Amino acid sequence: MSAKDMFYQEGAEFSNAEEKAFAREELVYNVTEDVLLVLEDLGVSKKELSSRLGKSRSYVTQMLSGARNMTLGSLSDICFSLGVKPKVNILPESILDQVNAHWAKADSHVSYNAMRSVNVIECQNDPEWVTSRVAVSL
Amino acid sequence: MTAGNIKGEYVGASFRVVHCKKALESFREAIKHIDSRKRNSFSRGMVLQIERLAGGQRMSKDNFPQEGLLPKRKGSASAKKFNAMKRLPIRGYCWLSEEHKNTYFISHYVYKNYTKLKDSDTNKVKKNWVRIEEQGHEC
Repeated sequence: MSAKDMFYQEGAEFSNAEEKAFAREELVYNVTEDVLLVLEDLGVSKKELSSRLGKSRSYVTQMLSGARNMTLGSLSDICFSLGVKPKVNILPESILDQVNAHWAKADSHVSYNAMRSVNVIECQNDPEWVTSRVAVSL
Repeated sequence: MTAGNIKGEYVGASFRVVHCKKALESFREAIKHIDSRKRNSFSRGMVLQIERLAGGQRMSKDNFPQEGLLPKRKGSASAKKFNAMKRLPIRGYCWLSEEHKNTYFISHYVYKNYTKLKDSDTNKVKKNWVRIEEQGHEC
């Protein structure tokens, strides 16, 4: 079951274009949300991030709200300036279904980690990297 | 689309998310203010937020900020706050139930083209909170 059933009639069929839009927005939303969480955890404001990137505040705001397309290059730049490493996993949908089904059935640590790996940003900071980036930005 | 039921709740890996009575109607009302070409995207945005919330993944303060105060529970020293699921300019106000384990209730949605939280929205959340947490409605 998907939360789609809360907004669309049960059994509603979606065109390929609609499913594609869902998949795109899901990736954009979850990546931007993960970036926002890294900012919170590091105590870095959007203003500070824009300064580290050498971009305007509105550029950062638009990108993190999903209003502006985030390229892999700009994601990499954001992560580099924050001292975190993005990790992309491309999994066949059938594997994800298995992981989700397993997660629903058993409280397995392995399945938990597999589920977590859907997150794109690995929130483990390299302290030296963070320090060097801060030093550069100052 | 086929004519089926609209589900009032969604159960994810960690939480159940339930729409209070008339919450979905308020979403349909709020989305009327959005450019018709963007409405599908806003619906998708809310679906994604609910799925992330129900999945137990952390939500950012930007998109899931704490807003006003809920009523004080009997015997409790302080009142808890409710949150807003933001997909600007639409917000869905919700709270984590203390009465129903691992359940978030979405009180209602608003089209919010203003900055301050309105008393009318706080009051609506409070009314729904009392109905559900104290009077046992909707579960």
